[in-house]
Amino acid sequence: MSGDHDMVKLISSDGHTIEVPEDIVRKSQTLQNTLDDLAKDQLENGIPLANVTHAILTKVVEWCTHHKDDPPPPEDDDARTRRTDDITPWDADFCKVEQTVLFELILAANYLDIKGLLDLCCKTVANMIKGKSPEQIRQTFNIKNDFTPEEEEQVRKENEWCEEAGSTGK
Amino acid sequence: MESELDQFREEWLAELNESHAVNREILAEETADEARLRQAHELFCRAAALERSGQVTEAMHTYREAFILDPDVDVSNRHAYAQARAAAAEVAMAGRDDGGMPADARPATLADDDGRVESGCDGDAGDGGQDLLAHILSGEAGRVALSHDDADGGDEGCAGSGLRLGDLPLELLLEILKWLDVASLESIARVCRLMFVLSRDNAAWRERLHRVSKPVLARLLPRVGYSWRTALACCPLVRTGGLYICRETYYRRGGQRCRNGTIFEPMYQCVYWRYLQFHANGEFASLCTPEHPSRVVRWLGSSWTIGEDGAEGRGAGGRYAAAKHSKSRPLRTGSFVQRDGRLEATAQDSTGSAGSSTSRTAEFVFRMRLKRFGRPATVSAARTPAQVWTLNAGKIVLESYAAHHPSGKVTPYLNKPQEYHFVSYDELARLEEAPAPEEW
Repeated sequence: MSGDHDMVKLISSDGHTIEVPEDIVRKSQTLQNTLDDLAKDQLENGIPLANVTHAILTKVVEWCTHHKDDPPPPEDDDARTRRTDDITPWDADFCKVEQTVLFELILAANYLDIKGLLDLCCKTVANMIKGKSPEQIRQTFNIKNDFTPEEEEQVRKENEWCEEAGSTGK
Repeated sequence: MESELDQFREEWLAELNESHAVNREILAEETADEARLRQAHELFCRAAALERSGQVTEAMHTYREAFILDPDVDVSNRHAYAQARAAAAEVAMAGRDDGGMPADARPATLADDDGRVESGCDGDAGDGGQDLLAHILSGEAGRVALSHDDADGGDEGCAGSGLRLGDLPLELLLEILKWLDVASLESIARVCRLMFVLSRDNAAWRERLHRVSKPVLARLLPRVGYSWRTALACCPLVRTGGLYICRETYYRRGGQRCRNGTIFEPMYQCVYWRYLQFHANGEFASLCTPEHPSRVVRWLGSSWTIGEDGAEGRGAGGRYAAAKHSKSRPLRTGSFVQRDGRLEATAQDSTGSAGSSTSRTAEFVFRMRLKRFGRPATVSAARTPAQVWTLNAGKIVLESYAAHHPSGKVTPYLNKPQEYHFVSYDELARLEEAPAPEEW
């Protein structure tokens, strides 16, 4: 039973079909619901994923395959302390992609409801923001500063209470 | 001919009356509309009040009624909300002298920061709404969206037509913000308007207050206009951007000497330092050494986040170096929890070298009280935000520590409390350039 898992066909938005073992597909809450709701014969043509391209889907499946034996993440957000420095080397390597791909992964993880992957990608982006000055953040993500000089001054003042902000450099 | 004219006149008058009646009807409808809107507004306000007081079910019913009357009630109420916030700020300002609440519990408006801010927000001038957030949300300052700079291609592969940060939906941007520490959150608020608005969202702050107990929060929140960000600023929490330093001295007899035929005994004043270092991820280090802060900061390092040196580095090299260098007491590392101005840290001696199996493992528990620093004495001092917001525990009073030996024996230490003062890494870095000590 455990050896030959049922394969599920997933169709990406650009029309490619990939076959993925069912237990890996079930890492996605969205797809798990789909699998539970649909009868076997309805699945034969594959599940179309309108929001995920082939390249991203391949990445997502790669991540799910590597993490297929992980315990499900804890439900309550409040209890766990959020730390961003506990990324495993494999995950860190997985996230060494272009920003574009990273954002697409976030969208896909959100759409497919894979909490672990969403957290990992958000952490990676958060780590790109951490310890940077506002100007460095703008450069990293190519964001335009749309504050008026007066507004900018006021925000700076409002944020003065936290003297660690922006000034620590590291 | 005459009768024809009469008939026309009659018809005309009838028609005129009819159109008047229609006009009146429309007018009546309009006033009904206004009444409906006003009722919707009142219901919405009542619902908001109910929600604040925790009666969520009633609030939901009232919200629904309001939305049935006016589907756009939330939008039209946004401006009213801004005014209410400003009012709440004033209430908090007025109420802060009547005890209980420290003077620094001031909401994040600069409403009373007279003169200087007026130029900043002409949009809301007049109704006391100098709240920058309300100003930006009101839309008078222009669209709030994350726009990308297309002029200079950008780095790290975000050039081109691919997906960019600004293309993510707001809830996902917020999801990213939840992973930031306070300093980064404040830093990103200054990047652009959208990030500023997002960074003020309660969702980004709520989790950070899980260390404050519910009764304390319930007292605190109404006084700060239900802003979790302001609430956080009011709670003493340890700072992570520097070292807590405690300077200790003692006198030591130097032994008898003889010079020029007289016998004398010199007394030496010995100085040593205790250091505490906290990190946002809950790690903790304590060190007791005769070394000056300017040297110690180099060993302990200023950051434990993953740097260029990779995942396993994490400043550990620095800490081992510190352990090696420290002459009297070893470096202890561990973890800490804090709640309502109290902090408990568990630490372990890291005496033995990393590989040695004979290294003694003694566990230490530190109990500390957190105190805010530089609390303004007068109201006028409270007007400068920098003084009001000297965030969070600038001082730690170490009340006791106890060692748990593997044998199960617990030895309490410390006769008098030790006072630690916070020094940021920036200040320490400046120290390195010009080592002018003695004051610590």
